[in-house]
Amino acid sequence: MSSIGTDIPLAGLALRAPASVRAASSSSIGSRIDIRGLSRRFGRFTAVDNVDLQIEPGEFVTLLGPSGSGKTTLLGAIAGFAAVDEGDILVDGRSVRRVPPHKRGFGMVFQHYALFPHMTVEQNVGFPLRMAGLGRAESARRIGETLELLHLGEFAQRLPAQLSGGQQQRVAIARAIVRRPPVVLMDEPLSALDRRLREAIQIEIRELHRTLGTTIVFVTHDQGEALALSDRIAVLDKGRIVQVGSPGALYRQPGNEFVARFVGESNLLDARVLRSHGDTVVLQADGTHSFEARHVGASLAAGRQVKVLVRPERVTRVAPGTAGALAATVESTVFLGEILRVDAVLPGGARVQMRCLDPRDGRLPAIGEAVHLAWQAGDAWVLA
Amino acid sequence: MSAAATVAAPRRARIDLRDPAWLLAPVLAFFAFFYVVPLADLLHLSVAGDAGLSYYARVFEVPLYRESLVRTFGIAAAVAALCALFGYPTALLIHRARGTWKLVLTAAVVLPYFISVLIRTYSWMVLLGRNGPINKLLLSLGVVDAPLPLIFNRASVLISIGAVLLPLMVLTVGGSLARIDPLVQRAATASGAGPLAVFWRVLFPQTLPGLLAGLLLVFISALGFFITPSLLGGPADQMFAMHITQQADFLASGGFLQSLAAVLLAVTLLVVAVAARFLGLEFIWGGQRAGRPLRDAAPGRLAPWRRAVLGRAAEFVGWPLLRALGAVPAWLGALVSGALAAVAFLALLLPIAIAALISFSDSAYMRFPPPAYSLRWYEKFLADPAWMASLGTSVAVGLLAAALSVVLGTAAAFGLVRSSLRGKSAWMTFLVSPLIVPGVVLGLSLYSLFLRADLAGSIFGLAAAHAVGGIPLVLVIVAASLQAVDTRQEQAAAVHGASPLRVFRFVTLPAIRPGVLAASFFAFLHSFDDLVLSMFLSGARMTTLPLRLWGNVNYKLDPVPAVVATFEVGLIVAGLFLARSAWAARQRH
Repeated sequence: MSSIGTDIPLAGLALRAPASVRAASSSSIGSRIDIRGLSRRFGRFTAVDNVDLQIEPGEFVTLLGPSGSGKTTLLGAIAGFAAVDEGDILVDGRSVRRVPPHKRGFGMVFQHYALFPHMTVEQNVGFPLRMAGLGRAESARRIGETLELLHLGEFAQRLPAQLSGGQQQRVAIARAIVRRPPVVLMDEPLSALDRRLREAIQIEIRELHRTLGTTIVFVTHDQGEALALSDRIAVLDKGRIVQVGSPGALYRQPGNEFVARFVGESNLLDARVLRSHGDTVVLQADGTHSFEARHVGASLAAGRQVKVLVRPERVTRVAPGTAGALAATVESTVFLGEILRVDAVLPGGARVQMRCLDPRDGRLPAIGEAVHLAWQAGDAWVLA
Repeated sequence: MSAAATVAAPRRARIDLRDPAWLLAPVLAFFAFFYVVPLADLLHLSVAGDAGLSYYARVFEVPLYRESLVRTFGIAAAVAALCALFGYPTALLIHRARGTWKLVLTAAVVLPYFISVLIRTYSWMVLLGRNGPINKLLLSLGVVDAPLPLIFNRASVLISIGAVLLPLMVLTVGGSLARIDPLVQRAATASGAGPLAVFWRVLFPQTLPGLLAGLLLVFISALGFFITPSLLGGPADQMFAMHITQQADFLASGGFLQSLAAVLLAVTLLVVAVAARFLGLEFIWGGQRAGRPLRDAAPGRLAPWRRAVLGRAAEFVGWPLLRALGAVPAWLGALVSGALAAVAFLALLLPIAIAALISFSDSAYMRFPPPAYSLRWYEKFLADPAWMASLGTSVAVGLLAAALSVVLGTAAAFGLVRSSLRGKSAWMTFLVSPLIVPGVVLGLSLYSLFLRADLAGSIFGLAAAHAVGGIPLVLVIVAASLQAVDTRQEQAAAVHGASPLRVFRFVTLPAIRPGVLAASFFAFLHSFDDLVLSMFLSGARMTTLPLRLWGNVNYKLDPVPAVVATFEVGLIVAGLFLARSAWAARQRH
C-alpha cells in the first residue's frame, strides 16, 4: 500500500474549502495550534483555567485527566463548540475565536460515534466532502480511498445500525479524516469499545497519524491509552494543565504527586532529606535505612519532608543483608498472568507495591513472609 | 412411549397460567361486545334488507354528500399542513429550550391538549366573535370601521381545528426530536455544515417519520371532526361527519346513516393503511418502527435514470444551494422558526386565557372586555341544580370509565408485554384501533346495541362506551412503563423468595405506578371530555356536562362554559403537577 498522505492532491480541496483556516504546506498538512491563556467558566465553576499549550504541526497531543478536569471543554473550545471567556486559540498563527465550528475545517471523532443514522456508511463519510463542495466523481474517489484505508470497503452501503461497535468507530474516523483536515480532534473515541478492539484501533489510529501527518488532539481519561498513542501528553487537573511532556518523561519524572498517581502505578513514600549533592538526594523513610534518589531543580535542604516515587516494577526482592535493602512484610500477592503483584508493609506502616515477572519456579511469596526490597538509586524520583 | 404421551397430553391441553397471555381475555371479551359486534352490526345495517348497495350509491350520487366528502378531505389536508407549518418549529423550540423554560413551554402545549374540544371551540367562538377581543382590538386601533366577519367561514374552521389538533403534531414531532443523538448535530457542524445544512441534511431527515406520523394523525383526526365545524363553520363548510349527527332521529333514516358512517370509516382506514406502508402501524400509538429508519434516498429502489436525474439535480442545484445558504446566519433561521412558534403558542393559549377572563365577568351577557369582574357566573354554575346534576353524572361516568379502562388496559398491557404470544404487533394494532375510529362512527354503531340491550341512558353503558377509547390510552402508557421495568429486579425478588404476586406487589407495581396513575387520569379526561358518544348514547334521561354545554353553546353564548373551562384548566394543571412530582420522584432513583 502506498503512502496515502502524499499522493492525494490537497490543493484543489484547499481552494474550494470554505474559508479554510490554514495555508496548505507542501511537506506536512498538519496545523500548528497555539492556545493562549484560555479560560472557560460555567457560573462560579471554572472548567478551563488559564491554559497555555503549543501544539506543533503534525503532532499527536493527548489531553489526559480525570472526569471534570476540563479536557473535553478544552477540546470543545478548539473545535469551536464551547465559548471562550478569556484567551485565544491560534491555528497557524491566525485567531479562530470568531470562526464558527463549521468553517474551521477540522475533523472530529465523537465519544459515541455520532454517526448520521439515516445515511449509509458512504453518505456519512462523504458528508464533509459534500459540505466542502467537492464534485461527485472526486468525492467518490476520496470516499473509496478512505474506506479502503479503514478496511470498510464492503460496508459502504450499510446503515450505521447494521454495523458493530468497532466498525461504527472506524466509520467515525473515516468521516473525520476524509477531507484530509489539518487537525483531527478525538473525544474519548475508544471508550465504548472492549479492550481488545480498543488496542486494535489504537494501532490503526497511530498508523493513520503517521500516514496522514495531520495534527491530532486526543482526549482520554485512560492513561494507558495516552502513553501508547501520544507524542506529548498534557495532564489536566481542575481545569489547569499540571504537566506537559512526552509519555516517557511523564512516567519517569512526574512533576507532582497528581501526575505520579494518575500516570502508571506508583509507590509514594514519605521521606526526610538527609543531604543532597547535585541531582542525587539521600533520603530516609520511616523505619528504613537511608537510600538515594534523583531530583532535578533547586537543591533540597537537609531535614525537609518530601514524597518519593518508586515505580512498582523497579522494586526488586533481594537477599537479606543487601546494602540499602528495606525489610518488609508481605500483605498480599496477586497473580496477574505475566506479572506478579506483591503488596508489602514497611515497619513504619507505609505500603510498597512490587511488580515482577511471574517467577519461573512458580513460588509466590506467602502472606506474612518477611522480604527484603530494594531499588536502584536512579529509580527513586523525588517530588518537590 | 404411550405412557409418556398420556402424561404429556393433558398438560398440553391445559392453559399455562404462568404465561400471562390469558390476561388479554377480559379486554377481548369487552371489545367483542362493545366494539367489534357493534361495528359489524353497523356494516350489516348499511346493506340490510333489500337495500343492497343502494345506500352507498346514494352517498356518492347525491352532490350534498359527495361534495362534503371531498371538502372534508380538503379541510383535513389543509389543517394537517397548517399544523406542520406551525407545529414543527414549536417542537424544535421546545427541544432546544432548557430547564424551567422547557417545562413551561411543554406545559403550554400539553395543557390545551387535555381540555375538551368543545370548550376550546367555545373559546375560539368568543375570540373570533363579532364582539370578541380581536374585533374590539381592531376597532379601537381604528384599523376597521365595522366588526370583521371572522367567524362562520372556512378560515375560522381551519384555524380552530388546526389549533385543536396542533398539540398532537407538536408532541409527535417532539418525540422524534427527543430520539436524536444531540452529538450528531455537532458531528455535522464539525464536518463543515452550516446551520441550515445541519437542519436540512441531518435534523430534518431524522424527524421525517415523526413529521409524517404527525401529519397523518392530524389528518385522520380532522376527517371525523364535527363539533368545531358545526359551531364555527358556515353553510359552505359542512364536513362529512356532521351529516351523521345532524339527523334528529337516528332510526328513521334506516341504513343510510350507517352507510355514511361506513364510508367515513373506510376512508379513514384507507388512509391508515397507506400510511402504514411507509411508517408501520406503530405510528398510531406514537411508536417508531424499530431498526428501519427512513432513508433520505433509497438508492436501491429508484430506477437508474431517475437516480441519475436526481443525482444531477442534487449536485448542480441542491448542494450548491445548500452551501450558499450556509451563509445564512443561524439567527435568521431562529427568528423565522421562533415567529412561527410564537404564533402557535398564541393560538394554543390565547383562547384559554380569554375564556378564563370571561368567566369572571360581571356582565349579564357576553361582553369583552368584561365591564367589571365578579364571581356571579361561578355562583350561577354552582347553584344551578341542572348544571350540578350533569357535573355529577360526568364525574360518575368518568370514574367508572377510568376504572374499567385501567383494569382492562393494565391487564392487557401485561398480557401483551409479558407473554410469549406471537404476532404482538397485530394484537397491539387491534387493541389501539379504537383511537382511529371516528367518534361518530363508534357512537352510531353502539346506538342500536344500546337500544337492544337497554343500556341507553345508563351510567354503566356510557362508561363502557368511553372505556372503548380509554383502554387503548391506558394500554399504550402502561405497556411503555412495563417495557421500561428492569426484569432483573423481578428475578432478584423471585430468587430471594418472593412469590409471583409479591414480585408484582413489591417490584413491578411501584415501577409502573406513575404510568398507571397518568393513564387513569387520561382515561378519566377522555370520558369527562367526551361529547360525541354521549350524544348518541345518553338517551333522554341523562345529561352529561359536555351535553349540557353543547346545548348551552348552541342556544346562547354566555360565560357559563368559560367557568367550566376554567375549572377544567385547574383540574388539568393539578393533574400535570401531580404527574410531574411523580415523574421527578422517579428520576431521583
